[in-house]
Amino acid sequence: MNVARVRRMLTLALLTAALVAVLVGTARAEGPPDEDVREIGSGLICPLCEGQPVAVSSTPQAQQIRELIRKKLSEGESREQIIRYFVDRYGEGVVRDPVKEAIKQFVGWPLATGIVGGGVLVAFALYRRQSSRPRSGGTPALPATKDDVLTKERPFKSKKKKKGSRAKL
Amino acid sequence: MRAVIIGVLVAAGAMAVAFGYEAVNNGSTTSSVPAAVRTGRVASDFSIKLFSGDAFKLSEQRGKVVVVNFWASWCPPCREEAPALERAWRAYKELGVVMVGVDLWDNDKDARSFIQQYGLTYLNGPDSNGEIAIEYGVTGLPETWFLDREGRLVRRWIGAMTERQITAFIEEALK
Repeated sequence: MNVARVRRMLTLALLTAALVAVLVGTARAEGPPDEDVREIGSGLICPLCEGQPVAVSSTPQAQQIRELIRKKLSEGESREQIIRYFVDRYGEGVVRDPVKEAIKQFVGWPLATGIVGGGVLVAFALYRRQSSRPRSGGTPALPATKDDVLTKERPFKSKKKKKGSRAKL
Repeated sequence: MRAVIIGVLVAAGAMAVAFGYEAVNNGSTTSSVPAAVRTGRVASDFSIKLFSGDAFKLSEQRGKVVVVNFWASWCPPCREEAPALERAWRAYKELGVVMVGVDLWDNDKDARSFIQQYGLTYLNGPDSNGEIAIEYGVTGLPETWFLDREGRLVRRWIGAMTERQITAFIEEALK
């Protein structure tokens, strides 16, 4: 075999190996993308930062939590596992908007359904009560007199007059 | 109409049961004390390089009562508590009690001068990446964990303690 050809092949093989090593090294050094760390961090409240999300807080604790999230992601832990890890240590309060979460998870839909159901029930009860009443507003204590009839009719008449005056304007 | 209302209410009840079941299965049961920091639980192991240059590993202390105190030089209650910790440590070290201070969010110089200022002789080291504090769910400084001879958490105290309190908690862990 030609010596020059062997050299060329060896050089090519070495360059390929170096390129592969660089690519693998870069991929390892990169670790999990910042977006993943930020996404998990934005769902967590820094325990010592007065309600600030871990993703934006500049305190040492938040920075350390972000680093730990990164480490756990690179170790293959899922988002849920990481959040559970922090909840187990800091309680449900470490999750952003725990009230909203709890309402959604525990009482939200059943409560909403209950409220709607209750509303429907009340509305139905009121409707039935109204519809069961006589339209005249019940039996009068005394029979209606001529004056009563006139009093009831007066507004109707005056309304008619008003309508007429408006039309003229 | 009445049947519809009853149906809606029954559906709401069923949903409540289903949501509750799902939440319990996901481990979301509400409890005031987070799972990892409950008393009776074996404290997570940790290693720390002490300011003295020696190494400390919690799991190597089995058979001894261990007091883990989280502190920082810039924390006023930690300053208030440090002399009491030192006195308690001196009183109990002969009984096999180990006391270790874990310095958080601090710089080396300030931490060392704090140790010198208060003449602290118990073990002390920095939690450089904060992983011990996170593992122990530290939410404020100072915070102290009292572990029994099996490494189980007997008492967790957030805030400065008096010597009397420290002594009482050590006695509790020694039982």
